[in-house]
Amino acid sequence: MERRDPLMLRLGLMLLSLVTSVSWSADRSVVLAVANNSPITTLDAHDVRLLFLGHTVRVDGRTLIPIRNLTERTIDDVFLQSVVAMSATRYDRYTLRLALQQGRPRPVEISSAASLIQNLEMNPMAVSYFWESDVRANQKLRILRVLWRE
Amino acid sequence: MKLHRSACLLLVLGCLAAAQAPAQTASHADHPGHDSRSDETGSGGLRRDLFLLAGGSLRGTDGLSDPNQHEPDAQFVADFLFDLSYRQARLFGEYVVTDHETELERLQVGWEPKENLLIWLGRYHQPGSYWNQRYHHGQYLQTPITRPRVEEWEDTRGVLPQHMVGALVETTWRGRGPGTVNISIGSGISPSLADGELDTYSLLRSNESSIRGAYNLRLDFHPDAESENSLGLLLSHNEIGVNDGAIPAGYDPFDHIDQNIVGAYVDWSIQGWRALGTVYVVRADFANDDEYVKDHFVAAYLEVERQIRPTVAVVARQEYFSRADTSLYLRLFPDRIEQKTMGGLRWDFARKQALKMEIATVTTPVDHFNEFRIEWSGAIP
Repeated sequence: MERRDPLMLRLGLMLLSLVTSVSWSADRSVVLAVANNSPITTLDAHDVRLLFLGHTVRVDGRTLIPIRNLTERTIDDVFLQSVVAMSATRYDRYTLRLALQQGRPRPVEISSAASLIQNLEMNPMAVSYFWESDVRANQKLRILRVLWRE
Repeated sequence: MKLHRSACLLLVLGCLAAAQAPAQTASHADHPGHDSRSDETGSGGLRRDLFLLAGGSLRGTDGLSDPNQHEPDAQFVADFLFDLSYRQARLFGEYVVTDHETELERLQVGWEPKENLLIWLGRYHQPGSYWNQRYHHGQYLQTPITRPRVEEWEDTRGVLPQHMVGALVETTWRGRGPGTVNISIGSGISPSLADGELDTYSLLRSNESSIRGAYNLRLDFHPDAESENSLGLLLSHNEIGVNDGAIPAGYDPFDHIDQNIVGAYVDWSIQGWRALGTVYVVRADFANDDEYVKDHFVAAYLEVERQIRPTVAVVARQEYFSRADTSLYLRLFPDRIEQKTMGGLRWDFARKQALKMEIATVTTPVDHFNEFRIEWSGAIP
């Protein structure tokens, strides 16, 4: 019986882990996305932060609407930490306070993926955040920018 | 026109229902069973928000003999808020239900002609109080259970006017650097003096007093636009009218009180520590025709908070009133205090829910006592 060269086996495993790691890493990117029919083409990082901090951000005179993605806890935590630099608890209190102070409706919170996509389609000025792999797998969505990469 | 109270209450409830009901232009596709606050992204630009800030607390005292400092042992508050936003237009309301009253605290119609400029008409919280502008009636939002006594509302032992009816303008000025200055200016109808408390101008009931003006200004400096750290200047001029029979025995007759307030505050956080302090210098001139009897006092507090874990914070506060036993103005309020030292703990045990406890020692012109409080508060949804 022919025995495989251990060196080749090790190289193969290394290659496999590298490929797996690359593909897993691509999955672990959070992106800002809009519906394909949205007129929004770009949004810089500063405006993304301002938008989710409750400031009015307009594109071509139309007000953007932030949607908080609560389909899973991890993506919400990653987004809040990397974009607004707050924990979920602190962000909840922050947005409540803004609503109390200035009558600004809090970001819409959606915990169903289907509903989230449908809301984006219904309102071209709405923006939300997703795993990059989810956006690439859905032709109804378009990536505006990468917000975080592991 | 005098509006019937129940009709106005129905109007408010209608607004709440409108905020809760589906927007005509919005999609309502969130799946049943999900606890999200969803689909308010109407394609026509209509956005709405409705939420409740609720709280319940228990209070115990030791050594309390002054009946003016008595409070119910158990208190409950439900603060209903709604926001409607359509393009540049806003509608905002806040209705509070407690164990002892219901009150339309705020009802404001707003217009945002451009970014960083917001113009409101209606009943609002005067901008010259930083604490009240930051927390309003939201028990859940403030770290401790109690607010500083000088920031109390008119109907809960407050000594300074807080609710106005008129116009409020909020704007932000950005210079070349990262710092920003927020400017809030209010001009409206001031509360009047009732028996031992201030009587706010109400939108839901007839008002006893003559209409007198109030002008309030707050300037906030933020080191950068996104920072929650700020310090600022607080200026107010309140003309406080007098309801029939409100002048207590021992006072010469007066027509109204011209009150001028100069204050400053700081709210700064560094590495888990937060300091929030305010000082007010209050001048109150009792006017009778062309003659004035002058009076003044100082009120100040400093609160220090420490976030010891992501969900646990400790807090301590020292409050102080000068001339609490000699100021003509402060003596109008039998439940005034001289000093209060408070320490407390807050635990955010679940999303949007907190448990708090507080112990305090209070000195009034006629009494000295200790109090203990425990509270649950939360936001729904």
